[in-house]
Amino acid sequence: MPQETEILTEPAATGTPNSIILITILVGLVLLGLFLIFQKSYSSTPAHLLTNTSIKKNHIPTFLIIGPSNSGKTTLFHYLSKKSSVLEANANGKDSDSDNEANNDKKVNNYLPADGTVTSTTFNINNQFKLPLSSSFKKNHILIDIPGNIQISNNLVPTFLKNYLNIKGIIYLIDSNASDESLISQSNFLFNLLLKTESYSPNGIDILIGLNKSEIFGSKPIFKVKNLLINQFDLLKRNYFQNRSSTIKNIDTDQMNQPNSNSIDNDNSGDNDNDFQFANSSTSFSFDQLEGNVDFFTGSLYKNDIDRWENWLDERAVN
Amino acid sequence: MLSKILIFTDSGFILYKYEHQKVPDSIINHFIQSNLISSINRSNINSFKDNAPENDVHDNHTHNNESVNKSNTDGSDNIDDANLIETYTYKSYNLKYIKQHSMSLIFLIVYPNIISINIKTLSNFFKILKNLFLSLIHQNFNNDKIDLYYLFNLKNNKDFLRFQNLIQLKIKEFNNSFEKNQSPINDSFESENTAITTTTTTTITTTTTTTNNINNNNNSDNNILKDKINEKINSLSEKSSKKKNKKISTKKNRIWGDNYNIDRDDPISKSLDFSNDKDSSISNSNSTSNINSISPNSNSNSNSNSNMDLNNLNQNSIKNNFKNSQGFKTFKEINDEIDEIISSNINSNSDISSKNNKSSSSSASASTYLKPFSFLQNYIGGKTITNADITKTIELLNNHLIKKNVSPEIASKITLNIQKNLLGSKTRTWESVELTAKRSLAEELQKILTPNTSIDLLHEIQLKLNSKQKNPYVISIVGVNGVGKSTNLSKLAFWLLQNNLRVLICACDTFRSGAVEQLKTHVNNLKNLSIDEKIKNQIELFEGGYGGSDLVAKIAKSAINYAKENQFDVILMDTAGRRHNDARLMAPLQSFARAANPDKIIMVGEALVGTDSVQQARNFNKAFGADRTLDFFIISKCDTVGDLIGSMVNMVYATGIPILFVGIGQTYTDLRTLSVDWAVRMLMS
Repeated sequence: MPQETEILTEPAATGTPNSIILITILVGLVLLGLFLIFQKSYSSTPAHLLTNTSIKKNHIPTFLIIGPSNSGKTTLFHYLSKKSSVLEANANGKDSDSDNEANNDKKVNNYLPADGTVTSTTFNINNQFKLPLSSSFKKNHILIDIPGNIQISNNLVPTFLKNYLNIKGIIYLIDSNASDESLISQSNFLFNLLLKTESYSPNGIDILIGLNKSEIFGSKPIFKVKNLLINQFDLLKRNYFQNRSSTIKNIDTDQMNQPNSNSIDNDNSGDNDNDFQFANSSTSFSFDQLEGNVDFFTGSLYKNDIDRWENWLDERAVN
Repeated sequence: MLSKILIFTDSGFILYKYEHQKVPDSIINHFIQSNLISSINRSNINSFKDNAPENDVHDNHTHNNESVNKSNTDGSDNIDDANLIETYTYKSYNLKYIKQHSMSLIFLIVYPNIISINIKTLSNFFKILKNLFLSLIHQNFNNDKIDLYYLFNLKNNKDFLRFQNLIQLKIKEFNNSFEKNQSPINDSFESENTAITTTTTTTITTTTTTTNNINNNNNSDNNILKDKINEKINSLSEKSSKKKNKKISTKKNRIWGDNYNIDRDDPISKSLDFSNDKDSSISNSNSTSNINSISPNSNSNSNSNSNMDLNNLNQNSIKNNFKNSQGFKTFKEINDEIDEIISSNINSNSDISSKNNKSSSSSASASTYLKPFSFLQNYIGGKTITNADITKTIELLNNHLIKKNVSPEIASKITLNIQKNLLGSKTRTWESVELTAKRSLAEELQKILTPNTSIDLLHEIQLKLNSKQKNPYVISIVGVNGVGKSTNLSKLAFWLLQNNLRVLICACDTFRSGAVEQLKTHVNNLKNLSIDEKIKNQIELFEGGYGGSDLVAKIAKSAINYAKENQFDVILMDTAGRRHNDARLMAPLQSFARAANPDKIIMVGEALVGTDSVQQARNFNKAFGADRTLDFFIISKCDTVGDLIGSMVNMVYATGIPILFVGIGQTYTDLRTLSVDWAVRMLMS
């Protein structure tokens, strides 16, 4: 009771509970106001909505698996992920915690998905991908499998290239039994991918072109696929060179732009500088002109014959 | 008979597979391509749905009214599932699927076309499949995503094996009943009704006769069946006798277990909930006698070697009538076990099944009231989106789209899809429901507008020119009157000229006066753009005067011949503008397409047009006969609409055909490729 009277009689005194309450209320109101403003401004900028939900900037070394549908990307993803996790578990000396059955898995080649796969509609990501596979000094990598559907990969590949800042390599899978026509249509996508990877960093990105399903009789040998691609790239390169000088620009580069869009991407200006070397030179296309290495290896997931791909991964992981 | 059952994730991993007959992978993949990936075919799904009237109503109105009306006869959850089932028919297969959005799972059933399965039967089966899988497997998943490590070891998971056994028996039951041309679940509906009104014994006798029939009809199946039963019994006998008691008590309430929506105030169903009561409920004298009849068998089976059991069982099953009672009990036990698992899951994990279920949603909301600060969840995120939350937001988005000139039909389809996707998912940190919905709208629009084929026209032209036959590349331009066909054609010509291609412009508009002269002016302009004599020979006009529609095909053919003789690379064919809803005008397009056989048919549509653009695009897309569609759109007059570019969405969504260029002005250089990011920004602003 005496305390209360004190407060009533001396409200101006510093440090009284009354002023503390007032200050707290004020601070609270200011915070609430700020919060609401922040919330509003956050929700009113549509630009940030475009960045794909779960993809954030990242500096961890990353490998991408890209390629047309039905070439075995998801299977490869499963294979590599499982292998690395099993090897990791073995290296640590403890039984992988899935009871005794896991021991059977260790024997051979149970890295393939048990029931197979269907066409993916979203990407797969493994944040605990331990490389190199062949040595015990493992480092954490990220492995991403991007669906083959053109619409989806057109969306996802640029997003990943933009947000994953340490991409060590790309595995581009091709079904080596695919017809010439489908390879030709692939070449277009691959060429655009090369343009992007060349401008990704000064050294480009190393690409492994894996010819999967080599166990099937009638699968195309490497040189056939390589020649076909080189011919197509040659054509595309000439087009690209000409197209540069002609007028069809992206509508985004126009004045119709909103001012806030500048932050989004200026891909076009970026491309111009970096791919100068390989697109503008008048010689015909060869893979040597690229900054990144492009390797061709056959392999067969079905027969567990992908040692060369694994070695390639290990090399990139060590360097 | 069901041919195939798949449970798979968005990311392409198959979690569970049952295959009775070989179904080509291409069928499944085609289904995914056309239904799950491209949003285009999704617009047609409604017409494929079995219960067309019911589903249409469902699509147009809110969920609740429908399901409440129906829930008088059976569980409301059930009806909701029935409505969520979507059908796709491809080659000789029917594919039925439901999506579990929050976990990004797809449950798919494939069966041959010739069989018709009652939607109710199917929905019941789906419900069992889904609930069983979720309740057994769900607790092993991390949040929403399926853990990779878990995926690797799925096959060794105990719960998964249990699920596999149960569902296989269920499938067997389903198939058996199907061969009898009679669905067990329908039977069970009848029997369930009787169970409510009459005593337990009558139900048991009716079901016994059913299984009698099954066993008599399919002796060959019996061996496999017994095999399964044996497994079943072994697994069952592992359980404590307490559980058995409870199982019997459930039998009293219902036999086939189709009602999972247990009202928790119901004292009888409480007895099912073994997760809550530690003590077993007291079973009455009637059911204890049942235990006695079961337990000797099952106990002896579990004690002895399983192989021995199998032999014994098989011999027994062939010889005497004992098999019937055995089979009957097992079926009952499967269903009871399934029931039990699911009901326990419902009780312990109410948010899974509570989506639209009236009773459980009310209890769920009650539980959120109990949590202090739950109102803040709307701001700080992590809130589970319910139907009530989202309906209003969706309406807002819908209006927003319509304001952007998207037709109401398309807008509601897009937003409904978002609603479906978001229901039951959680908002991210610091995000309100509205923001989440907005983001998924942006993603959806981006998905729609991203081209699904290559739009590198130049490359394709080059490919054709490099082939052995020196045929020119033919592009024809179609569209409604006054959208700018000729103008955009000349813009295209200018672009092709810049790429060092020889262009022949063919005046196939023989109808409108002055059409040929207009093109002549354009050609002259293009010729005069360069002082280089060589360029002047790069472009020419091919004309055939004015006349009827027969003349058009004739001109087209002779233009191609002329181009071949004179080594032109590309032919651009201008056609007469025509009203898309006039069959008389649209019919000649088919014969024109046959005669000219264009490599690419490009439709020019204007950004100014509103709702009608949907119909324009659809009608033109259909006009060229069964095996020919449009290849590209050019959207003209984009400079006149500002950010109201909804007609782009209309046309692309309605047909699935990508936009090649957009026209933004009057001069030859006013042609742009479409930036999807830009378009989405415009639409979202």
